[in-house]
Amino acid sequence: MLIDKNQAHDICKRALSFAKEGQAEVILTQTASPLTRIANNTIHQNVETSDISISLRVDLDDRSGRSTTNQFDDESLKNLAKQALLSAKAVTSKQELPSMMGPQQYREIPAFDQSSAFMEPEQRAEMVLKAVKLARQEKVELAGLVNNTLYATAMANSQGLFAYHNMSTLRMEITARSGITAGRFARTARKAGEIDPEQIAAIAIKKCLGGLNAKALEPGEYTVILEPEAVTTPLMFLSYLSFGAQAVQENLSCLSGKLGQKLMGENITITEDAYHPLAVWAEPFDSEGMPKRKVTIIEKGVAKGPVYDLKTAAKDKTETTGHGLPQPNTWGPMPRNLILEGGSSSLEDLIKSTKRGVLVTRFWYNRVVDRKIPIITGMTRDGTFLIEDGKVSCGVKNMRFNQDLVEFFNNVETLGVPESQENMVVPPLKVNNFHFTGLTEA
Amino acid sequence: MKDLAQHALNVAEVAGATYADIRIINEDSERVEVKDGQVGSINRGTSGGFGIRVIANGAWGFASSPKIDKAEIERVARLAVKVAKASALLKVRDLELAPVEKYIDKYVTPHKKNPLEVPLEEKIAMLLKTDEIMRKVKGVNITESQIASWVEDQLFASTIGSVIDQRIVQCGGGYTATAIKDGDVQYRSYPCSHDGQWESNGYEMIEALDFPGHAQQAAEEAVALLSAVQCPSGEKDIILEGSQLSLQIHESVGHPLELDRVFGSEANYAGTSFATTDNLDKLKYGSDIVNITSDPACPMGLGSFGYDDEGVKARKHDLIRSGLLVKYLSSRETAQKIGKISTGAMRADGWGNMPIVRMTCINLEPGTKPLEQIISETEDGIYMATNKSFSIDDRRSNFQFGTEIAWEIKKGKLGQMLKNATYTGFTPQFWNACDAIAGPGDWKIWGTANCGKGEPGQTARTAQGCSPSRFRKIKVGVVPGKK
Repeated sequence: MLIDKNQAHDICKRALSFAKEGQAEVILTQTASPLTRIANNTIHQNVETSDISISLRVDLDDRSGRSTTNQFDDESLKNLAKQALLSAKAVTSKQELPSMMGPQQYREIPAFDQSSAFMEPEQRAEMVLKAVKLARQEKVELAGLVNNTLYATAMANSQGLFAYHNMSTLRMEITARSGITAGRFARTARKAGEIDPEQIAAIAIKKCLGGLNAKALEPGEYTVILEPEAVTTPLMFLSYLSFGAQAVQENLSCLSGKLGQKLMGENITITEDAYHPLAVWAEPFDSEGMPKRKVTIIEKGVAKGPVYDLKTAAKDKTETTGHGLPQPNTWGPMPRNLILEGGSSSLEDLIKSTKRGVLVTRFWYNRVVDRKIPIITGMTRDGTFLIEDGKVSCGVKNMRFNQDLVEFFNNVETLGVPESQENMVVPPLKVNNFHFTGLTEA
Repeated sequence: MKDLAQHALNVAEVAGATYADIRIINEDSERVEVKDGQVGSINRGTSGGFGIRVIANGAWGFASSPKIDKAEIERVARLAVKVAKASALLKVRDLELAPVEKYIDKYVTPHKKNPLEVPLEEKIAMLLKTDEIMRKVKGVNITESQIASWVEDQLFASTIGSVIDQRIVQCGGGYTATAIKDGDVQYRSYPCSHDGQWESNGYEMIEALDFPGHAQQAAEEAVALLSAVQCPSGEKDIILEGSQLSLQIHESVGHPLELDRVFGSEANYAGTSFATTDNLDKLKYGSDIVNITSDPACPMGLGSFGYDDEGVKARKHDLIRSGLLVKYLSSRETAQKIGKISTGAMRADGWGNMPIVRMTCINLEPGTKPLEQIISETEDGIYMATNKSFSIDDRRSNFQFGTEIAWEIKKGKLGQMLKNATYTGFTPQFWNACDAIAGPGDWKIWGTANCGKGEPGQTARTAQGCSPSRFRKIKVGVVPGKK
């Protein structure tokens, strides 16, 4: 059952009533995420999970403590407040805490749909069954999931702030396998009817079969065509390594010392925009209860600026952009809904325009190798193909990359039509001189 | 609670379950962080609830709830059976489980000081002192430290008749000094990276780590790395320090031997394994000196417990014996598929998740020589310490690791400091290149507090025991430098 706005308000108010000293803030989160998981063409895991938790923060002047529980009886909430207070009192050093903010105005994001919020396990099984029927016809095996999620969050504080948002999604991921060859396709939608299990399975199966008898390429610099899921990888790393104000202030970001300067290719514009209509997973406020603003981080290749929370904004004598994490924290603010502006080309157009290159479905096990530049490593997975003379000619074995991300965004030749990738909106990309440094066995 | 648990099992059976188990859990946790001389955050949490797992119509169902009362337990038990019946719509054959003994028992992690009863003020003072020592070192720009603790009380009951109470006490922490100059960022962590060292143990383990006593060295090494020589490229003999080798074991032995992965259950997310079941008792996984066990019964490992999350008693099992693959990490379901008993590796993240096959304590047995002797017998090599980056392919074969710090070894002696050290290889070739493992005096069990696997995503706390070891002719210096 969804906790609606009034119920959330009542719970938050009750929790706050037990905090008698200083300023107090409560964050309520409800997540129900039933999931049907398949492997080897059968359901091997099927779960109905849900939880509601409350996190209470108490600030005594410049000292802060936080406590969390998922129990809502008066005794538990009383203990919650007591523990947060005790934690705050234990702090002996200054924390430079901004004052909690009063009531705010939020722009609504319509993100909830009954069809994805509430599904019966039989409905998910039906979707899986449609996909598996196709797989059996093609003599491949599917792994994957169908997952519907209901999410509600609320915030309130002793300064009178109250915020509430809910959303729901349905996600289907399919990995088709034949021996060590695999192909993948995934989709997330707001409405259950917008997910077509047979279409998702058909694309994954086609990729799998097209990748059989993959040949090995020599490591080196290649032109790559990245499908949108692969494009989320470099953006995700930039979001948490470089696009938050604290990283810039600490001289850890690739934006540090570069604001106002050209950093990436002129065809690169990256914004943070929770209100973008294609951002499926987005909230209108941050964990300080501040309204999210649209922020231009890179404009035509020029570094314009990071996202802020209250603390980092005060340091730079500017205003928060509404991208704070639960306070206080050591990480600083972070964008959650990056939008990479695209062009008009389709994925097929990008392939057609490529004399020789590598088509990548997604990257896997990506990690930071160098924090500042930044350089990341990882591998291709679940559908990697050679493009020759504008056509996909064969599957290739997966490859490891080590890639400077600033260099990457300087080497983008063409951007395709953007599409939704859960919390991001990204186009497929054609990128030159991508560094593949090794081969995997699959 | 035991009555509620028994009631849940009864309701599930009446609804059609042929097997059911329930875990009723309360977990208390605490995390304290200090950064740059300030308390970064303090969070004390509690999370309670229960999860019911059933087999009905020959298939699995699972449901969970944070509300622990009779009516909710009845609802969730019936829901789990309904979910299982939906799963059965796609089954090929009925589930079969390897046999397990019935246990009525209690287990408590051996410990002296409950970490949640140690005053916050004491922890904060120790972290601030450590932080201050690091910040006094000229050239250090950022300092971060943390301590975290978990105490989980679990009641497990199953329709086999087992009723098991467990209290798992875990804690740990660590710190990092970061130095930045001319676009170069270098850092040193103590006692290891990725938040530090973790054990199933009491607060005495944190006291024994002596955070302040090592802070100056960590900070000075971070600064020294800025002017260190870049790790060379080519083939070298490498000696891996314990915490780095621990992660190597985790990624290239623990994960590939999880039998659910081998059977493809993780194919959509965590991946599969090169160590397929036709390799059992045949694959020369490592050299003759490589002996690796799963031992959740060993003391202090972050993957230690009395019973796994389907009631299998913790005991030691050989995984690799004299280099040969001889066993997998398994559950009752996966073990049955290869005609074996479970090795007790079924673990869930809290009350809300269904158990999946997980690493326990994966231990590389010690060799005989002291580390110093191994170094002295190395002509041209690199000693690499403290993990900085880790990446391995979805079949757990090709990997690339980086370490925070390294030193060259020339003619049996440690030489100049090297930065940005990386190495790469393929799992069986790498373990077959192992020609020296340091002795029991250098052996230590390391904890990994945040291993991710499964959908919905679950976090597991695992451990890997080892002594520093040498690997011959490994490809090093594999990341192109800054252009």
